Amino acid sequence: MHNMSKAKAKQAVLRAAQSTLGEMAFIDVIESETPHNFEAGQLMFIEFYKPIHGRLLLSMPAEIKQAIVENIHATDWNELSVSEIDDCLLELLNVLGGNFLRELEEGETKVQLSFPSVLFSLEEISDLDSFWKFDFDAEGTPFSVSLALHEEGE
Amino acid sequence: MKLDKIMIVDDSATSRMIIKRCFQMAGYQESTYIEAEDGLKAMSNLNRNDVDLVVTDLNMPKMDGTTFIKKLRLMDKTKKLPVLVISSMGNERMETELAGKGVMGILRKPMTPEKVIELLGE
Repeated sequence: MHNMSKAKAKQAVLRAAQSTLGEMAFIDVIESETPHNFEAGQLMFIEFYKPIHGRLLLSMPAEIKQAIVENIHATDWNELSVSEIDDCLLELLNVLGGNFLRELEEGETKVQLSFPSVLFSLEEISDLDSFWKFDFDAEGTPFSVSLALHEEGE
Repeated sequence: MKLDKIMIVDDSATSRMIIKRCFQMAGYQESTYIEAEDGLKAMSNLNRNDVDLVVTDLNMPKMDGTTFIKKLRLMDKTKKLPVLVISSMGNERMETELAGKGVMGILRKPMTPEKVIELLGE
């Protein structure tokens, strides 16, 4: 595990979630005391390689997923195709990942991310125990961002 | 800046929609928008269309934004074409590298109309 503290990582994830959901979907995000159940939400995943190596796992229940997509598209959920919805949520995760890394970035460090993907099951993550899970609240709806950090070359 | 035709290159349809909306809200309602989902399709499209500005993402499959910009600079038709980069990965080093390739600026995602106005003017 990278030597970053959990508290520092949580603050960076929180600020990234606030700017991403705020600017893209006009949704306010705060820290939550209520743990969010992984199983209840859509799972999306992105890996990053620079300036540090790690993975982000975003889990969101249907209510917030719908609110985000409708706000970004300015269109009713029922008028959007599955591919439009998936693309929208993956783009959100891509921006969230970039914003998280920029929160950590110092000076001129290069930032590199994988393409985001939808996970169909938590079983696709074999080492879930190595993730820090951070719970947030998006205007009354809980969601979580989980983070795993790795040493160089890991 | 007068822009009759703007090409938006991004693998995410959502991102293309947001970029287009931001440009429209920044005053470019009358512009024609041409979209491409990667550098390869954008190159093919540029052979058939003249555009006034290319707005491109960097992280794309098939042909990424950096390769796309390099190829633009090799063609007579597009070697002086204004290019804006939209990316979630922007940093100072990248800005310096891209400025050397004639990129007029980097807009960091998420896009806003204010960022467009700041770069291109009202």
